[in-house]
Amino acid sequence: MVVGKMKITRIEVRNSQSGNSTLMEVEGRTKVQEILDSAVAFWSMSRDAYLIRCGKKLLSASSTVEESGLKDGDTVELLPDPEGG
Amino acid sequence: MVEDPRYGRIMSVRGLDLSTLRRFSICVVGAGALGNEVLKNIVLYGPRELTVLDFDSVERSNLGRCFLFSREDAETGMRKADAAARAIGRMNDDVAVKALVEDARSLDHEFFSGFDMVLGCMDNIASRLHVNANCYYCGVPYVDGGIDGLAGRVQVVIPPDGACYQCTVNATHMSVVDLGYTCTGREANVPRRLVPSEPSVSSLTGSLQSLEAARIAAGKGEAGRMLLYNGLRNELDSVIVSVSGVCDNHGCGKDENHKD
Repeated sequence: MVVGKMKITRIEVRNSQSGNSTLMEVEGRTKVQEILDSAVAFWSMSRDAYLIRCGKKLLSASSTVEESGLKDGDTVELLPDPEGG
Repeated sequence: MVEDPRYGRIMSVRGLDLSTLRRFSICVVGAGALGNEVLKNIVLYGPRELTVLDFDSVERSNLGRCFLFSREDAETGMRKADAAARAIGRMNDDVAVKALVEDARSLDHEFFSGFDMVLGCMDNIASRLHVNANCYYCGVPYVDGGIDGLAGRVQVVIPPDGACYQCTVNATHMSVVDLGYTCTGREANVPRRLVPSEPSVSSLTGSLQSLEAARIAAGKGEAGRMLLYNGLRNELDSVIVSVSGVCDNHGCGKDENHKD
């Protein structure tokens, strides 16, 4: 979808812990970190380390939606990063 | 040369030449639940040298998950590195086992460059970042492992190829970078979170980590690979980790994601 000159991408964000998911509209320039932060806030998740993946690829938080190759209809999954030993 | 029958079954494994590992000097950083599992597996491979690095002491709360420690170790406050080294030394006296009671963050690249491979079993992000950066700098393969309840993670870092641990770190990590994910929830002057720990997940994650070490030694390691275990669904998945454009260890290079 294009709004004005800004391309909007609709993605599904899934919470691997609860199984819940939500739809999110993002721009090509949106950072993956913003998606991650929004999801953590949306589900009121605890202050912890999280990763975000799309299929078999771990997304780099510093990349944008466009750079990550995210497309309309893609599902990204938020998962806790186990840091205990 | 006649192979020692002790290793006959290991060396006859098809598809993976495990003889190289016998010439390796390996350092395992962290001798907690995960470290115990990794140390047991690695010492059975029979490497040339195996160093156990940990500055903590054994506590009673460790005994539920750390099979290398005894009640006496906890009662006398024995150092984890010493207790673990003694136990694995008994498992295989072919291996030169060394214990080092130090904080990994006090050691630099000169220390880590003395090993053929390092396995990280630490309980905090700051130590992981430190060990990863030093190993990456001196070109030593690093296999990082982490556990939390029913979740396990293993990441393979083979410098200079592919991503490193720091490439996976984002702002959520930095918000808890100084927290230790301890099994006791105390003994620190910084806030620490009591991490749930499940023995089977520790065992499984430690085994995956050890197997990745064996694969690297056999020349079959895959840089930039992360294994994710979800014990709730009993599922194991492998994901590709790309080099991050903001990772200090990789300089200011372009994010490999951009190439997709």
